Amino acid sequence: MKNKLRELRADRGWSQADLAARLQVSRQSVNAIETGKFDPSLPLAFLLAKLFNAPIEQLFQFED
Amino acid sequence: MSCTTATGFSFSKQNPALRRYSQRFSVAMAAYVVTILMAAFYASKGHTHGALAYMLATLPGLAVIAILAAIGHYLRDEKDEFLRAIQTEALLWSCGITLAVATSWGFLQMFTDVPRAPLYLIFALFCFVWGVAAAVIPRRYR
Repeated sequence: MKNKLRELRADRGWSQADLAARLQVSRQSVNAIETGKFDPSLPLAFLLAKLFNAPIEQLFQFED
Repeated sequence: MSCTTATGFSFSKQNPALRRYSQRFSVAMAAYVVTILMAAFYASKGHTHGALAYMLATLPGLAVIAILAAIGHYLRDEKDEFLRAIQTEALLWSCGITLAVATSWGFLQMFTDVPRAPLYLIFALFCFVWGVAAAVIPRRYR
C-alpha cells in the first residue's frame, strides 16, 4: 500500500510523535505505516482518515 | 533471563499494557528465582523424595507458567497493533527455534553420545531467542 500520510502530516505541521499521540499509538507505528512497511488495520486506517478529515482512499492507495 | 530486554523500542511509560506486563513479569520472575533457590536448598540437604520435595520442585514450573501468562496478557492488552505484531512474530520465532533446538538435541541425545542437556534450559533458550528476535525484527521497519 502507498500512502500520503507524510505529506498530510507535514501540511498540518505535526511531527510523527504528534500524530502518534493523537492516534494513541507509538511513534514507531506511525513511522512504519508512513514508510509503507506496515499496513494498518481497518479501524486504525479509518481513524487516520477521520483525523485528517479525508476519505480513506486519499490516504491509502492500493498497489497491484 | 532476557524476557524484558531489547524490544528495540522506546516504550512510553504511559503504555498501560506494558506497565501491567512489567509488574506481572517482575513478580513471576521473582517467584521463579525464589522457588528455584528453595527447591535447590531442599535438594542439597539430600531430600529428593517425598511429597515436599516434589511440591518444591514443581513450583518453578508454576512460576514459568505465570511468566508465560504475563506475556499472553500483554499481547491481549497491547492496543498498539504494530508493537503487538512485532512481539507476536518475535514469540513465533522464539517458539519455533526453541522447539527445533530442543527436539533436535533430543534426537542427538538418543542416538549419539552428546552431553545430556537439562530440560529446564528450554525456557531460558525461549527467553533468549525472544529477546534477540524482538531486537532484530523492528530493524526491518526503520
